[in-house]
Amino acid sequence: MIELILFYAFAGVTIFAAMLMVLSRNIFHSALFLALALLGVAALFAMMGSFFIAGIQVLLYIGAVVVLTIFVINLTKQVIGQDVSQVNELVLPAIITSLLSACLIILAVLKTDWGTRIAQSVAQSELTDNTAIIGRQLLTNFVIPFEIVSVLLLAALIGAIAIVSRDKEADK
Amino acid sequence: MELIKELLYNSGKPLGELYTWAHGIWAGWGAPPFLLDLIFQIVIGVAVAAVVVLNALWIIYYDRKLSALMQIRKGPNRVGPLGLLQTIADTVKLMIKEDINPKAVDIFSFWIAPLIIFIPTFAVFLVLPFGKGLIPADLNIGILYVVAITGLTVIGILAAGWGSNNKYSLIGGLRSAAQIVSYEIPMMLVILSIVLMTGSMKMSDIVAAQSHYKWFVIPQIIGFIVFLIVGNAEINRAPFDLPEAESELVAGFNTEYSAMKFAFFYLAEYTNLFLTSAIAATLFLGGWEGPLLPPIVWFFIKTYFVVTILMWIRWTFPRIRVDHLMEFSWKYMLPIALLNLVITAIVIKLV
Repeated sequence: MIELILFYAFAGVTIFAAMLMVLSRNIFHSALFLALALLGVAALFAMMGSFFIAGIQVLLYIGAVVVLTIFVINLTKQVIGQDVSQVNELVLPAIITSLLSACLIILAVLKTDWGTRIAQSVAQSELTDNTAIIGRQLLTNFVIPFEIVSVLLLAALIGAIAIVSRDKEADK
Repeated sequence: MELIKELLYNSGKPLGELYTWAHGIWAGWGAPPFLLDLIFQIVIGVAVAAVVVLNALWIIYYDRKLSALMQIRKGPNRVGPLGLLQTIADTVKLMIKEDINPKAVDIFSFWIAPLIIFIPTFAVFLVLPFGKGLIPADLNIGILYVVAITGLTVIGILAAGWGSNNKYSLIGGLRSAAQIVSYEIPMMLVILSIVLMTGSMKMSDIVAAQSHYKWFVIPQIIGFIVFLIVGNAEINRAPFDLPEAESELVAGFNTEYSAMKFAFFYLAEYTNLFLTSAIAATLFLGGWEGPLLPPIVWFFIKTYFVVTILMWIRWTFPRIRVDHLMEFSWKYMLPIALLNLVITAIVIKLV
């Protein structure tokens, strides 16, 4: 009973914040609402018993992605109090993309056999500590994607350093 | 008498008995059990809030007295005996002062920033092990929760800096974000070495792994020192108080704030000081473990020991320059923490 109420509360907050993020005319407010929406998603993860994913969601998406977004907004020329339009010339492609992804999500929801899925995940999450499961899966079944991602991140890191040091030389 | 003794030394058992007893009575009335759980959770929340506020009152007084001692001054000594009521007087003053909203601020960000800073600080208390079985919620991601939630405060600081529409506030906010993001990495690496040693992120397991006085401060002495330095930088206190450096930025991100909203920043700063110390005490100094005295007393003794070290650092070192600050994190703290992690892993594998 209480779980149902909490679920609807968190889901409502998530959707409400996501809508406000898109509809807000102030870019900084959008970033704050994005943080709230991601926090709502984290709460939903926590309600499903996967606290590790919830923690990582907060740590990476809010603690890193949103913070960097806000950082960049702060570095741009002061747009405080200025209303930015929510639409630009790409409105038509955006509508098409959104509709397609909505179709994809709805299809996925309809095609999934929720009964057995829920039974499986409940049985798994109550038996073991899912942090250990994730760790083991990452280093056994998913070791190649895991390594590829680390190489990609390393490449991005080196690229960022290269761009910064090139600017320094140009200044001299 | 027996109950009090049991409550002090082994809180988990009597509290658990109280919980089942209350549930029995509640079921007798035919009320739904989740309502009682809700009441229990509200009681725990209120208790935590009381700890936060009372502790902040005391820690501010302690900071002022200690700084006075170090600078051969008297410190607060007018309001109440030994100036003990000074903080209460200050709090009342902050509450009844006029709440000024400057004309050019972005009102939404300006209002929400003190809340964004304060809520995560308050939420971290959820996983602090105050004593044996005396932990509001023993999550199985305990320490990860702490790291994730404290990372949210930086959004509040950025919102305060941007929403104030003031160049000093903006620079303060930016500095703070850069500083907290940089110093979070060595901190996480140090915490990771502790998690490697315990094999669990649960706070109660971390304390249990250090039982019989095998405190992690001995094998992890490098980690402890790095944690103290990095923790001090995370909470924006001197010598790392660049976000609010008075000599350059007026008061940094809280330049435009007054009255109750300023009080929130102030409260959050001192509560964060307590939290960092409490986490250091839990991770490295054996948590609530100690002889004779009740566990909760030991928890506060160890926490205040770390608080004293951090205050000592604050009142003796000059503020460092902003580029030195970044260099210090990336060129010294990060490699040391990384090396510590690798050594820990190798030693654990070999032993």
